[in-house]
Amino acid sequence: MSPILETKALVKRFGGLTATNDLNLSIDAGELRCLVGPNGAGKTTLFNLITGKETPTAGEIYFMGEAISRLPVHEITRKGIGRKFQVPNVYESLTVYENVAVAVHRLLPTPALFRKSVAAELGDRIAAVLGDVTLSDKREMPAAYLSHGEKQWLEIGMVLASAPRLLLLDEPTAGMSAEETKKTVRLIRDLSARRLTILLIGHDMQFIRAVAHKVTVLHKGQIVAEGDIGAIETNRLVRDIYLGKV
Amino acid sequence: MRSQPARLLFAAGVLVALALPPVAGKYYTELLSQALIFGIFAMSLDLLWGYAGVLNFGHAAYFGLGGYLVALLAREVQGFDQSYLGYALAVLLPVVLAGALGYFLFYSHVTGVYFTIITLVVTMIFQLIVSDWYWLGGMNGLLGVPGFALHGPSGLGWEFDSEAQVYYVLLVVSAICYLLCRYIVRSPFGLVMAATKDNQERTEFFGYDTAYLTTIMFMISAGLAGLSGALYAHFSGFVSPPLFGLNFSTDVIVWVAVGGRGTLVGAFVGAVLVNLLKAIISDFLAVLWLLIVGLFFIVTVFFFPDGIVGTLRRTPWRAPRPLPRAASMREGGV
Repeated sequence: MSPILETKALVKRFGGLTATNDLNLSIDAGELRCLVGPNGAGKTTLFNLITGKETPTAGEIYFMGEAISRLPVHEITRKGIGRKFQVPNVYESLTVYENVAVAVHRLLPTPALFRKSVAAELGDRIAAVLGDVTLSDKREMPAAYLSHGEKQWLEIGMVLASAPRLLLLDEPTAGMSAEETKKTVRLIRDLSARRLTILLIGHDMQFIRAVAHKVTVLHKGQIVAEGDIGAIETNRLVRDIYLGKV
Repeated sequence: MRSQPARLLFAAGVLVALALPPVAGKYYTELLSQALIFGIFAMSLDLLWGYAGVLNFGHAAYFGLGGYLVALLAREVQGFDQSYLGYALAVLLPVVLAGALGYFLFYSHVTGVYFTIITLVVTMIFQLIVSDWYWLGGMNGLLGVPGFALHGPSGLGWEFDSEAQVYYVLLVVSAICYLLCRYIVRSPFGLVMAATKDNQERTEFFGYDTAYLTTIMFMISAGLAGLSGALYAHFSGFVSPPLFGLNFSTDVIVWVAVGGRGTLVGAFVGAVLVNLLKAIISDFLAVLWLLIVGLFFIVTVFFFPDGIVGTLRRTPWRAPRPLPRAASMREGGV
């Protein structure tokens, strides 16, 4: 199977700091991959590079065979890469329904944005997404009033509504209660079962064990280990990195 | 969903607006007519400032451009009716200018205060040009712009010359402009604009070219400002450099702030109220009136940061839906 996402010799330097160092990552279509690594390993930088927020110093990123590293954020997103940020990043002043509507409307060409009737046509899709993330009963509430966990779900829902082929999740369970985390695990497994490709950044090993099959360990901008969760957990080098020995 | 009292208030407002000319008399009818033109102008700023979160401190540039175009056409082009062409160009040229500015500024990520400062410079450049170029009338401006008229084929047509007729024409034009703006802000485009104002980064990460969309909003806003400038030229019969002035650019911000930013109707409420107040107070306080109007502005903004209409919309008779004031990076000061 050809990879949906591939980075080749990817390098990103910020002044003297090398955040991404000769990184070769390959994700297959339909895969659920987890990125782990200590703080400063370059996980979020990698997401910034993939989505076009940062431009690589060297190397290239291929999405479905196409080089994307010099494209602006919105064009990369339109090719089918959806991103959920680490800190919930929703439209606080808009209602839950409007939040999802913004994401859904992007599937339309710009001139159609001036037709009011399209809002009604997309209603079913919005309702389905709200059902997926269990926020149907809060649709008229301004997003500012949601709990932290609800905001996280809302953002995941919004990204899903924009119909991505590759979903990037940056610590989706950060700040969630145990109950909320469980629900999120169910949601991610469900999405993966629908053959959506997911690349997620995780900290919490229990959570990673619950969702991921294959884990990639980053350290100082490089891949130091890759394999299934069992092998990674017993890997000596990985343990040393987490204990700060390397 | 409008509540019953809000509907009644709106209906009462429309009735008062319709019944005014005979009651108000010539002087106040003219004043209100001018305030309606200013209301359209203020609404065009509200589109950009209230709905896209971009403060244009040189919005007078587009008003002045529309007005000067109409005045120039009236002087230079004879033998055919220039008013329709005048209106078309008065909308088109500001749209093109805004498109060019938006392209260079928004695509270079010039937003917030920096955008505001550049727009200020643009209008000052225009003011310099029209003040110093004799062909454009210099400090005297351009005189002799004909009044409002509707012309049909083969000489058919109406001229609107009484104060009341002019007032009603402007009332109709204002209503059309208002409905157009309301349609825009309630369309999916308006929603995406609101999203961009709230969180530009998130919107880009949904695949929207926010620079492009903001430029479109800027162009619509500029076109409407140009139209109001053209109306003003026909209404007052002359144009002069202060139309491009910093004072006028500031006035329109005050009208929007007093009436209520992001409300559309507030633009008219602010323009009518402030201009009425100016006229009444300057009648008996020849020197101090500006100070009083300034104080009124400060008090309004201090006690009603949402403006008059914005505050009314949050009063108990409406279903409560207080919006959190999310501070946006895009917004300029004031």
